[in-house]
Amino acid sequence: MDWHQLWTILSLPDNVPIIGLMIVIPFYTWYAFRQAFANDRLIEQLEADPEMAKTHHRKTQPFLKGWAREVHVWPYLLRIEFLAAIIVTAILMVWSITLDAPLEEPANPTLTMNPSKAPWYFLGLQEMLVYFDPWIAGVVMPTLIIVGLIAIPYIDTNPLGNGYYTYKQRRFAIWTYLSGFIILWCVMVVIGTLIRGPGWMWFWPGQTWDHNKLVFEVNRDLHEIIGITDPLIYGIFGFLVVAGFVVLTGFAVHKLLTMTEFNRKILDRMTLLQYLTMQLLLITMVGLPAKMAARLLFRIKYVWVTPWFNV
Amino acid sequence: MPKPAAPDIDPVVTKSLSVPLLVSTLILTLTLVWGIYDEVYAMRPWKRFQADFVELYSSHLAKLKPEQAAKEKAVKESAEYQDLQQQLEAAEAEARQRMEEIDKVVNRGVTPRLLTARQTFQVIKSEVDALTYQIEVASSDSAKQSLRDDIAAIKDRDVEITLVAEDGSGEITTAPMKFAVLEAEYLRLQNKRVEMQAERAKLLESAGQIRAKRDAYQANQLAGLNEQQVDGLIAKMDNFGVDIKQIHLNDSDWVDRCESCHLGIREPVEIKAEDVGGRAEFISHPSPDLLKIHNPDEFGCSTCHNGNGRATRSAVKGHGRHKFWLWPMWQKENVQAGCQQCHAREVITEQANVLNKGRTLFLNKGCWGCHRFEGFDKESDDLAQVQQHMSIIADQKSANEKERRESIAAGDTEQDTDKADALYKRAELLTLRSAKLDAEYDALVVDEVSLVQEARKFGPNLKEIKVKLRKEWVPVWLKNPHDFRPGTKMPEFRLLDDEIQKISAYLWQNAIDGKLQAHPQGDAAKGEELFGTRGCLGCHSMGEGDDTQGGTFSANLTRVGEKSNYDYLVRWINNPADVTPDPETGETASHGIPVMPSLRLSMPEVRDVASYLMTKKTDAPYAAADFMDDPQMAKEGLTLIRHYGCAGCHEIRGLEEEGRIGTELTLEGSKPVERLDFALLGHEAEAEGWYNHKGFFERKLKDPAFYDQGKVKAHLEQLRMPNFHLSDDDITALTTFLLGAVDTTLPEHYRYQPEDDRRFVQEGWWIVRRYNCVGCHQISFGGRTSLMGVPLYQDPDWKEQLPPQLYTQGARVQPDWLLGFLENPALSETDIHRNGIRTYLHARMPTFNFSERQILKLSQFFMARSSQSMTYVAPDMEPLTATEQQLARQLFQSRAAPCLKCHMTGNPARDLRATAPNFLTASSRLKADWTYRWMLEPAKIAPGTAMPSELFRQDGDRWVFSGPLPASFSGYEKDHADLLVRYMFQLTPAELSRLVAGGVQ
Repeated sequence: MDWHQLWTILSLPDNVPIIGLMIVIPFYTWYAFRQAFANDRLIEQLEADPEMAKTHHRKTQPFLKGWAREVHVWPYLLRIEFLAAIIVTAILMVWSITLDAPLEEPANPTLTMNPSKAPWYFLGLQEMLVYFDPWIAGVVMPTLIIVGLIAIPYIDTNPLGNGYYTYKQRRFAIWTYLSGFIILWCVMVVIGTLIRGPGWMWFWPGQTWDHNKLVFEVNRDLHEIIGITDPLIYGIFGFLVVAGFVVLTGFAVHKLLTMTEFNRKILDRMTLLQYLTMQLLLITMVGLPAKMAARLLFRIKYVWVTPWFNV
Repeated sequence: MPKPAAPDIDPVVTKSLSVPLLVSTLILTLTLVWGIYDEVYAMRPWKRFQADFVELYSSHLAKLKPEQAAKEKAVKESAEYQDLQQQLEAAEAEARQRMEEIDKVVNRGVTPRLLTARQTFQVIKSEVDALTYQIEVASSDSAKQSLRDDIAAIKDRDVEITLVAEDGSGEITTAPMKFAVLEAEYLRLQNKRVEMQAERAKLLESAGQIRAKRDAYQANQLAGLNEQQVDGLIAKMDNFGVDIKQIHLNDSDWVDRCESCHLGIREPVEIKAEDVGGRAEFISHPSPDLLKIHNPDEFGCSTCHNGNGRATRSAVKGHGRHKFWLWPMWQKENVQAGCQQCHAREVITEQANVLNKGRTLFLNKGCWGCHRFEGFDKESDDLAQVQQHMSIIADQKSANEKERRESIAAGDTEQDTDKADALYKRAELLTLRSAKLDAEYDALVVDEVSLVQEARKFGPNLKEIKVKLRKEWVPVWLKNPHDFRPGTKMPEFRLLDDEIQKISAYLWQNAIDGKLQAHPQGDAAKGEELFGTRGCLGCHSMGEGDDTQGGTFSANLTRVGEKSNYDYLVRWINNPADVTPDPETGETASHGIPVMPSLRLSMPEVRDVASYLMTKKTDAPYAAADFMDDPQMAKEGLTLIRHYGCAGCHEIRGLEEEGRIGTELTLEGSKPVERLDFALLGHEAEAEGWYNHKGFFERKLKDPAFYDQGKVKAHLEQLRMPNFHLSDDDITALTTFLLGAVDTTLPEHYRYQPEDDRRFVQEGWWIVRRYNCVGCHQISFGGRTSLMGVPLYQDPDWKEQLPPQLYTQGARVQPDWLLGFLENPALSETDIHRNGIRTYLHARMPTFNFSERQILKLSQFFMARSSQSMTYVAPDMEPLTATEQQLARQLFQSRAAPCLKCHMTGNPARDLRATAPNFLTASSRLKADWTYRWMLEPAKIAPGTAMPSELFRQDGDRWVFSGPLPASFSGYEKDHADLLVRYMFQLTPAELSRLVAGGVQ
């Protein structure tokens, strides 16, 4: 266990946001869940007591009798925002006093630093490059992420959960968020920061980042493992595998969606376009961990190899 | 499920946030205070430094003041000072009366009158000037004319003017005056004032001169500052402004703020750490001389010292001891690395002894055999360049010829006369150009001849080993040269036993099989004496451990008898330039001249020395080495020789054109540290703080296999650099040199690349170092030669036998003579077994096989060091009159100046006791002005010389002999030293023998 190495990585001014992220995100996730569960309990109570339930909506919301359903922005919202602003300012002040801007040596075009890392917020993208072609990881996926984020309000036909925390009423949305943002995005940022060392090799925390490290890794395309040599045939074969994956994942997603009565109701409200868009986004999202697993566990480089692109 | 306790109370509306708001606001205020403290104080540690410095330095100055005042007082009380002071007062008194008169007239008469006149004069003049301008721009002639009339009217006007009387009485007169009169008066007053002021200045001249003399005397006698100057410094400290002290070099935009903390660096008082409370950061620069020639205002600080000159936040940052600062400040022991970046052309830089040692080691340990380094092995580079240039010229010439022929042919058939003429003219021009090219080519041929002679591999020629060495010795030597000969330049390669056998076999089988002339044995005892006295010890050493004596420049010969072949030794000592003819290639000359010179020993002497050397051996057993005749072994040996780069330093048959195997080091100090191969030790280095160039170089030099530690490699993949067994001092010196070998970012004009005579000094040092002139001669002041350390020369009688100092050689001798002497130090074609000038010296100035170029460069070197030109025209000497000759002769024979007691006369019996050159050589060898100075003050020119000082004393403007003068000198008004110089330069052999015969009177 190389504590010095671990400390070197953790204490790097560049990595402070990620260390913060590793603490802040679990905390707020927990905090949000706590509130959501409390509200869920309240909703349960209210549903059991029709007297107290506010039934202006089609579904119970977690409001007690004496609670105002609407409050003024001033002072009730702004004072909280003001408090938050003060605290964040104080944190930024302390941060800027204690940690200098992490400038390094003058750039030398003939000498690339190793490991050569993107800014922390792009490390997820950089990590994706390990698993996909630059074209897919660098262009298609980021575009889909942005488009997908924009599309969420248009796909989401669940009217509940506006203005309050709840788990029961938004299970599917919350799990999609948890797996898409926290598990995929944040974990990849953390991997890119803490795990990837010289040569973009995998170093467990506490392992020495050794520039001389050599590992035996042979990544092969799926068709090579199976033994297909004809380009046409392995092109078709790859397509079939990918198509199979799409169909299977789509089916699994559909199964998940229709698991509960509530979700089935929501699904009924969706148009075909909304449904297909959602499927496309979810399948692509699942594709990333699937490819990661294929690469990390089975050393598969590409599944579908064509002269134009590789997946 | 129980109901919530107070379900109706809305938490959003009822909760008060005042406490969190208050607390967070307080925290924010505190961070703000912290931020301000950080900004004003914590991030500016130099403010504390400056406050401390002012306090410590002021109290030091306060202590210093009475000390300096006392010293100053002592100086002022000295007789000389008092004398000067009195002279000054007398001079001032003399001038006083007239000065007072002048002051009265000027201050009370002329100046007030001038001022009152000027007022009116200027008013009228500006009126006229304004009208003149209008005339210039007026459009019509009539307008111009009317303006001219206006001016005339103004000038014609009578003006009431009040004037003060000129004599200083203060009387005031008022009178009407015309402009022309006023102008004349005004100019007259102006001139008068200037004249009187000039007269006043002239009156003060002699007093001023005496005052300057007095002040100079005080400054010379007083160590340190005078009281007034100390007071000035105290006042400076009292008014000290706390701010960033910055040097900004405009041309390179270099910024250094080092002096914000290192405040004492340029103080005129020498500040030691104990003067300022042990604060080493406040001391003055340890070498003010260096600062004088590298004024910080022009050169900055971090230009030489490295470090981050802009950083002021902490010592670590300012000194650049930071992972991301690529130019960390040199460690103390390597500080001279800073010199190298601008003085890259030199092998010897004054005041940079560590760096010089590093460069000399690089040169004389043969590092450049494997590692290219610009400037080292320049001869080979130049040769390649010259040869390339020659082939270009040859190509140009043949192209010219072709075009010329074609032009003529075309001209012959051309019908049009003009066109034919043009073609013939073209042909003529080409002929001219070809002639010019021929001249250029011839000049290059001369260079090439010299360069071929100079360019030479560092180590001995291994084609000779069959005639030179004992066969069984070769593998023993290769095993570890340092076992056989500690301190040898041949490094230890990490060779396996079978590799040694294969390499030996190749070398042996590829050596020239020659026949040496057989020589009878000589007298070893005589040889030993010759070896100790002829000067061999200037380069070679003898003896082991503490008994070692002699120079380290060449081999230690303690065991030379074990390896050598007697007949070869005889040939080598007799003339190192002799080689065994190669029957295969027919070559009879060696590649390059050996560094070892010929001492011009006679053949019996050579045999004696060789016989002596053959006795220098131990009884170490040598195993038979039959494998050296195995052709298969030799075949495999070739690959190994190539692998280990043996041909980098040695001539080896079949590998004449082999390149260098090491990495180029010219810019090694600038190589990114990531490119230095720390192998598995990088993390250790980082943890222990030597992950930098210095750490890398030092460890690599100490143990060249260091970075193979822990690596699993096949034998031939391991690091090849051999171990030179360097001492720690050597490693520091070489590290300093390599650290300084950088691609400097400083502008061109900072680099010391003179094109005038100083260039000759730079170039000359390379030859001086390469041929170890400093083994016998002192060339830079304070240098110690190898011979000076030899026990024999500790004896006072033998001290006089040390070769001459060459500090001012260029001023002493004539350039043409020096050229001839370096070419042939015997100064004779036939009588060569002797020194040319100082035949009395046992040590002999050897004949180096210098090329013409080298001789010229060496002569230029000596001349340039003494600021002399290479052209010397002997001044016309006033011929001696018969009386003068008589007088000079008397002086020469005077008991008080027994010149001929020490100086040679050509009489062999007398010359045995001589310790100085023959006067007959003076006129062709010496410069008259130097000789004159030499006679007056020899100890100033050559400290420790046997030539007596104070032979002459000053008498007015001339020097007269200080001993008892013969009566005939009364009435002789000329300079006695000059008389002797003239006598000496016009001395004839007949006159000399007459002197000798006359004896001392």
